[in-house]
Amino acid sequence: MILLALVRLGDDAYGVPISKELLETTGRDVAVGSVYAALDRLEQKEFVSSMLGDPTPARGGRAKRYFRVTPKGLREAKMTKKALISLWRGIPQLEGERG
Amino acid sequence: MNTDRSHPPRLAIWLLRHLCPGRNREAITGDLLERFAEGRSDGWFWRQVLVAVLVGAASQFKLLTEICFAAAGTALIWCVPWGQIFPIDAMSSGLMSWGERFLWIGAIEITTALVVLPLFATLFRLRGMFSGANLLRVFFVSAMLFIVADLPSFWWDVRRPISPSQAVWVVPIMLAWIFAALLISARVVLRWSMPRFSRSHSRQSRM
Repeated sequence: MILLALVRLGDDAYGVPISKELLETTGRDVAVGSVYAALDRLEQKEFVSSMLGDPTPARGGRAKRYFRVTPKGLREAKMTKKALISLWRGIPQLEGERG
Repeated sequence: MNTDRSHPPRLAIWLLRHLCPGRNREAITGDLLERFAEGRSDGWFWRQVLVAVLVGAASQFKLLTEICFAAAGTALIWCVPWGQIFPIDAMSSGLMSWGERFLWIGAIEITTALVVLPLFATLFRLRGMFSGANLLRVFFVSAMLFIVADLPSFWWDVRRPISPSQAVWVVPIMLAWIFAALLISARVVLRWSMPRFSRSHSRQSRM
């Protein structure tokens, strides 16, 4: 979900827009700390990269940490989609439902 | 109740500053301040801070556990050979000159630092941080710490050798130091090799 949120946000992907995107798409208010923990794991796996922006007064002089999906992360997202689609198929209980 | 959106709970900020892992501290604090300024409540802010601190502590604990396993494994590997290779008898009987001691210590500690490399390689692989540079760093840091630990032996008086009861403690103390040195090396190198952030000046001009 976080990978997809990053793809959707493009160049403006830092903590606040990411958690808002998750809230809008899933209806769940995910804690910012949990978002960063997940992003750290994704970065360790080289699915995302990050860099610090400049500090801004609106954030008490704290810098934003921007994230971007790497080509490896994009490939992983596509593979996950493929796997989910094939898992979704052929389940009678879920036939006709739209995810 | 605090209604001033520019002043979040001070204690919560203090907790973030002192208990949130350094890597994400600045970004998380900035994000929370930004959202608080948008109208979030004190309760929301506190909840976010507690989650950030707990999640951060859990990840640090996991890292520490991995380091402990790597260090304990290495210490165990060296437990038997160390006692046999290190010339405790010669040192404690005053048969060794300072020059000989220096050569022995240098050779042994460099070998020890080389022996720990496979375990660190495994640790770095697990953390997704494997690189030749990291291995070189851990080699230099651990070799340096091992040699520093041996420095007191240079001042052992060769004319007044240590007693057998004192010599009994040498190996356990050395092993304890190996363990501590491995922990310190791992912490130093992991901190050293965290992905470096580049400040994006071009980003600011784009916004």
